[in-house]
Amino acid sequence: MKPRRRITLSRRIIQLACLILLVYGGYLFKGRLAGQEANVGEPPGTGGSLFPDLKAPKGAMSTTQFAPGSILWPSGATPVLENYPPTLVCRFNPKGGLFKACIVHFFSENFTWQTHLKYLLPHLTLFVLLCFLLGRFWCGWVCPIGSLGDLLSWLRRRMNVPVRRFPAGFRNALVFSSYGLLGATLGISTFIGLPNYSRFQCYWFLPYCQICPARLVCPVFGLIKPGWKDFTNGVSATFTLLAWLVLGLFVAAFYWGRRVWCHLCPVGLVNSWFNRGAGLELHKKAVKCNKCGYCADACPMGLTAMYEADTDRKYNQNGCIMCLRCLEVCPKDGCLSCRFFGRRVLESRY
Amino acid sequence: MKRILINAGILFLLCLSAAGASAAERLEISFTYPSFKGDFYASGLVAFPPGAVGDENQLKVVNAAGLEVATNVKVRETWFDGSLLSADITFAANSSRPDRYHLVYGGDTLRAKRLGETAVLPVSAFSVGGAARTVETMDMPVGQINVRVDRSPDIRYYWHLVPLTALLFLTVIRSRRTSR
Repeated sequence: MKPRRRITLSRRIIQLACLILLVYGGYLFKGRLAGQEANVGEPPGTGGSLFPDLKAPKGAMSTTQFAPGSILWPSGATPVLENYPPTLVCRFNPKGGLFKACIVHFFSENFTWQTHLKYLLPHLTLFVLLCFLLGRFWCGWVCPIGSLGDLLSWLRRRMNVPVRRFPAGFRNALVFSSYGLLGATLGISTFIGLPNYSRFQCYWFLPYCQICPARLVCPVFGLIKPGWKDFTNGVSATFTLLAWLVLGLFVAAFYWGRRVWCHLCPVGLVNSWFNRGAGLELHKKAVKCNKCGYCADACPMGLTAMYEADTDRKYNQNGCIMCLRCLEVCPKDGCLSCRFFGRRVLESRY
Repeated sequence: MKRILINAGILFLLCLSAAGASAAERLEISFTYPSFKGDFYASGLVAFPPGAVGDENQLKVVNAAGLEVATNVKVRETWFDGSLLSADITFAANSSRPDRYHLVYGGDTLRAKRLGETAVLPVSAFSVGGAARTVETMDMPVGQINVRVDRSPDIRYYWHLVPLTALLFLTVIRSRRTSR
């Protein structure tokens, strides 16, 4: 019997719509871009907006001093919305620019620029607000990289390649690695922002962005050639090789498993800190559960807490990407439900 | 009616300046060669008068022999007629082979060589001799202009601390009620 809820179909439609909107949405607002360019060079906060433009301070080593063609060269497209909601499209998305960039890019860039806290506060507040409301919803429903991964998983199913289930220890190791990646990124970004070490900025600026799979993927979405052969010095060559290696791992991870990359993604990690307190909640009514295990099988993140639960509670786990696949496949009416601040929005129904 | 007259005046001035800019302009590019011997990028922000450069392909950099040099042009701002107001222009040079470069724009100038995928190299900033006129002076009956000076920008941002702290506090409280 097929589930009566078509959540996955809705999710695919939303993923596709979001991919188009995020990557190419900037074209919808091209008329506004010229006006926004007018305040180039002004110090932050002079634009009269609650959300000040966060631009490199004058005199600081900024991306505009790098050579064209290098991955550090700015895209040239001004985002229509100069905000940083939870995890937005990449700096390497050159022709869209509806939003600005991801939160790791945001932190890295502004730590290096040593942007004053008061200018970061509006963006951080917006980020925390969205995470508080929706948790890791972005990862499951919007993230363009996640959508690409889902496409690879679909290809795997079409080719009848069996999915590999990775043990919990391996997934935990990935999460620890993502903490390491995030820590190293922020540490390096802060270090090269110190006045005595600014000479390293031309090599180490945005360290995570330089190895992120989006470096090679997002320009392709934007129909331009990615910076795939920056071998001009040792550091750039290392970053380029690492980027290719990470892209290979990314493709392999989505091919053999489901959403394996999402355990390692530092952007998802930052979002996951808010998951357990988020307004979007997953509830289980344990008395209705027959322990069929469908939810554990269907979970793309390989989480089993919902399946193992024996009490009626909220089960928002850090790794949950809110895809609601568990709710969709649950064969017991009303056993699993999705709520928004306690108000029931969806529940399992066969 | 007043606005139509103003717009017509601006359009007229633009037409005049565009007509005046029909011949190609040639400006000398000056920069300091770095002390090392090797390739580097000369880069600079150049401003243009209204209507002079229709788009990024209507300008080029030539060397002393008159040969075009591959350039990367990034438009920074445009005039209200869509022509270039300012653009970042970058081209490759070599300090072991010093040369003289000129920026050519206007007329039927067409850029044929573009700087494509390139290496990360040191950048030397250049300036353009006889900088183009970028400010138009015109007398127009614009009426009263109200200028508001914001002298309290800090509070505009620091108040975000209140909702930020509240949201973080609520997140922690709600997390404690959630099963792991």
